[in-house]
Amino acid sequence: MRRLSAHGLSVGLVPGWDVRIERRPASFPVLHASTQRLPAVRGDYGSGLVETMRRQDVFVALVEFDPADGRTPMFSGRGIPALRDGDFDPSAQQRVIPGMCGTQQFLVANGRAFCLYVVLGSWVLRRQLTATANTLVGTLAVG
Amino acid sequence: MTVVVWALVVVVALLVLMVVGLLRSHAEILRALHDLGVNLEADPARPTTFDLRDPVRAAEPEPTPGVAGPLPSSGPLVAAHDVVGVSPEGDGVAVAVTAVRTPTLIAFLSSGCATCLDFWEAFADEANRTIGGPGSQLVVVTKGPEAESPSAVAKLVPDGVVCVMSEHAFEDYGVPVAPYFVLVDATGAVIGEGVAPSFDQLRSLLDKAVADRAGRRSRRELLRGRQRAARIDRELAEAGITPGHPSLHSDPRPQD
Repeated sequence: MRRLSAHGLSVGLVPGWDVRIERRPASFPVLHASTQRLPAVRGDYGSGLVETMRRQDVFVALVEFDPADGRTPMFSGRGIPALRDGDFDPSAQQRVIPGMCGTQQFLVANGRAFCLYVVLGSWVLRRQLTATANTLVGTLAVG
Repeated sequence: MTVVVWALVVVVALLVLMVVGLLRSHAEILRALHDLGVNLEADPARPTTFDLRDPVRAAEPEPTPGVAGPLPSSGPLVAAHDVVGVSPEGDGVAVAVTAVRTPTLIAFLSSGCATCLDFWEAFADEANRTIGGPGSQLVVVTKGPEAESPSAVAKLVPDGVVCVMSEHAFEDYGVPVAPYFVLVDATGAVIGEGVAPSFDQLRSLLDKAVADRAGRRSRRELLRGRQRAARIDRELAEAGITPGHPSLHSDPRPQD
């Protein structure tokens, strides 16, 4: 599988996924991946995109934080996790959109602190969409 | 003497036959080349053609557990490729072209060619970014940072346009020259490719190519006009215009 790498982050190229690994000035890298087109302008947690997601769509964001944050209790996770459908909840979205659900997990990988934020286009279809999300999340790597 | 005259007449007649044969053969070759999209009358450095292919099957995406895959399509396997590279700012970019639900027009441009400038400017207008069809996405691809200046490309990329610097994409699609355009349909199949010297010409060629494909008519059929009358009658009938229809008899000039 071909991979996309930039700014010390890497992801496998899964067909049908748009991916960006960006680093804005004076900020930490952000990885975005979506099963629908990524708009040119979007927030770190997908604002500008998640509002237009369809039922079968998935959005993944891996947002890096200051490494010092990784030493706080909030960043309790170690490594990129495999997602379970039980991780998702409608109230876990940054901005609650009816019918959709999300999960937010704070973790440390390779000494770097991250928030893994995933939105599913349908709470009802969360089981199959979790599997879709894992096809991409399972390829994430931190250099 | 008479024998010599008749011999000369025979020789001249044979020569005339040979010349006619050669001319006919030449015409056949020219027509065949034209059908293949080669226009010898145009500036060879600026070929102007955009041909749509018959639908072909894109590389099948890897199955996603729990998610139904697309219906299988027919036709030979060809490689439409996702576009992967870096942005002029150095960010990683992967644009899904296969296994998506919308058509994609990939514009292979360069920061250095004068012809490309027209396209860079045209794509600044958001309305021009969907010439690949309704709901289509536009992806501009340049060669990688090893062959193009990222800062020069960054100055040319209009806001909101996805630009990927990727040597791989040029190789994947066998791009011979910039500007060059590839149209991938919603099923991920490469359905057309070609060159155009200006944005207006590209729009015109795309419109024509899409219209041709919609009617499943070959260019030769269109040029020769074979069965043209029957085709026109059929298309009019499909549009509900039959003999005696009012639109055939009304005065098209505006009424005062």
